[in-house]
Amino acid sequence: MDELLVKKAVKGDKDSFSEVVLQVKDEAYRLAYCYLHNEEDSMDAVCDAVEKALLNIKTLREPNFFKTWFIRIVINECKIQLRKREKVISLADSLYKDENYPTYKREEKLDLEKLLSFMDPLDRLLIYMKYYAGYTLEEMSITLDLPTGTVKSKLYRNLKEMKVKLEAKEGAYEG
Amino acid sequence: MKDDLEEQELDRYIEQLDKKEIKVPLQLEAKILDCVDRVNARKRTSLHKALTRTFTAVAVVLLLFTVSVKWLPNFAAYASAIPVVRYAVDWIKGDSGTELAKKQGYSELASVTIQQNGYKLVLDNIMFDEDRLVLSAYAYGEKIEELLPIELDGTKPEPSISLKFLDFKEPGYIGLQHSPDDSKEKALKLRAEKHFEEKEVRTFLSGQPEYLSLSAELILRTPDSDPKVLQTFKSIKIPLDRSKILMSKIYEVKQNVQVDKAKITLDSLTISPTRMRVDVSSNLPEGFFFTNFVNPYLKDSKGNVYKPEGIVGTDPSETTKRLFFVPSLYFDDSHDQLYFGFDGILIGAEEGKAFKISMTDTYPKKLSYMGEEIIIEKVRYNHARDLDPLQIQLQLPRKLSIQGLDIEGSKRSSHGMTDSLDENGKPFADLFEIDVDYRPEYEVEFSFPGYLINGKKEIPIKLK
Repeated sequence: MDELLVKKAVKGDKDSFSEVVLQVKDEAYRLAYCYLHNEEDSMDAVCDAVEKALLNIKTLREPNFFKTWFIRIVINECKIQLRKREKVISLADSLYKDENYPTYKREEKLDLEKLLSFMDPLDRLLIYMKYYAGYTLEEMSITLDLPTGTVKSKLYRNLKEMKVKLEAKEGAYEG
Repeated sequence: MKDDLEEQELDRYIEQLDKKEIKVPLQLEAKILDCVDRVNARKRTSLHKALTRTFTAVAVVLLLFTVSVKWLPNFAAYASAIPVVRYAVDWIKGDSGTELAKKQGYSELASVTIQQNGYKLVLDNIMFDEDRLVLSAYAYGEKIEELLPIELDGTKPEPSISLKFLDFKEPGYIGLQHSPDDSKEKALKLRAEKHFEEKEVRTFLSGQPEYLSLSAELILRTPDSDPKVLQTFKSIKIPLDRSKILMSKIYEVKQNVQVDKAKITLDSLTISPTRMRVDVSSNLPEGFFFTNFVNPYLKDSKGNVYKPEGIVGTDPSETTKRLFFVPSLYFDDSHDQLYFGFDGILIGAEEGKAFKISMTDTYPKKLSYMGEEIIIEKVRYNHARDLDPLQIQLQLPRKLSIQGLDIEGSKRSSHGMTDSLDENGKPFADLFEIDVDYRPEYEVEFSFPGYLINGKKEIPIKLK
């Protein structure tokens, strides 16, 4: 991230602002999509975040903090979008609680992507940020404004559960 | 220790799984740039509105006259010591002119309410004199309420009120429609202003009418289809007391004003109950035209200044102009003379008024108009936008004023501008947004261009 470009954006240069936002737009969109799992909603969340960022850019004190600051706004907008939708995603658990559910259907349903799609949005985001986008735990903690310990415990608790479910699926194949 | 090993194992497990990359839509970039433009345009519009103060709720001007209309008041660079006469009134209900006339006892016509098929139309705040007829129109109904607030972005249905003044040869008017951005608003609102030709009202009144006759339609405009009429109100009659309609006082002026090579003649001053009007004509060398005065005003002998509110003026022909000022001195006989003043004039030239814009050129590019350099900073066709997709950003020199850009085949256009400077002391670029189909090249023409010639003048107009 070009610090000078961010400084110019903070001073009100619209073109510099556009340029810095475009540098992070892909990552912003992917995180938004990871959260919302809907293309239109994700683009709306990113655009709403662009608007808020442009109106509040003067509050950014550290130019090299721009990406983190912007991604935080994107995630907040995702939460707002989700509240608007009022959806609850909880299919995967119900599949496993039903002992009569045919094994072959579990095999068809589950891989990493499918499992992620059934997760709580924030839990899904944690996994995406670490294993897809390459964030460190500390970076995730700063961006999401959560203690590092919370990030770590949520992340690995979910990973453990996912591993169990995925290995159960693999077992079904081999079995 | 055990936890660390477990975490490392989990890390390794997840990392070796197939991961599907999330595809970023191609249109995201265009949407982001559009958003940045809109926010900046809103910021500029806020500055613009803060300076004008009077017209904060107007979103659309419906032009049903064949004359060209200027409705933006000029920015006044007056010091606060100079008193500008104003009477506070909600723009939908009137202006300083109608407000003072009411205070002086000039009667409004009775308001009228018509209900049909679940729709209600109310015509109120009606004032009628030889110069103009003004009224507020409000439309109510469940179907109207469902369509509010209006977005005016061209993507959603837009309801509107359309009137016809049936007693006059030209039934059209100038309308200012309110675009409520508040979901609590229940009514569609229109402020309509009908101007009259010389002796038109006298001819009408000589027929001893008991009513003014109008018709109205509630229309729904939807993107990509023909407008639909929701309801027609065919025969609306507003009761009229002819004895209370006052005629204008007309003063012949015939004074020439020479500014540089431009000769402008103040032809007449018309003082009507709700407004004052100055008629001017111009005579310029071939290839040049008179665009406008800069900050025109009237001033009375006590130093009070009268300026336009809302409709600034009309151009009945290429060489004539009508300039409006409120409130009126109709009911105040104490003045021997008025002064017509201005800070300068704007002169346009035919040469260089039109130019080409290519979508494949690289920008910024320079062009010249009347010896001044204009920078075309950016040209973009935003395919992701339904409304006004062609965006042209111009850095205009302070000496040039341009109202808009005309392109053949365009359906509408808007112009975001401000007189303010950004934090670096640089003027904001003017953003022109035009609703036109994509073409690789456009023939563009400046609309009402003017080169500023400074020259503060005050011309006395004798009243007695």
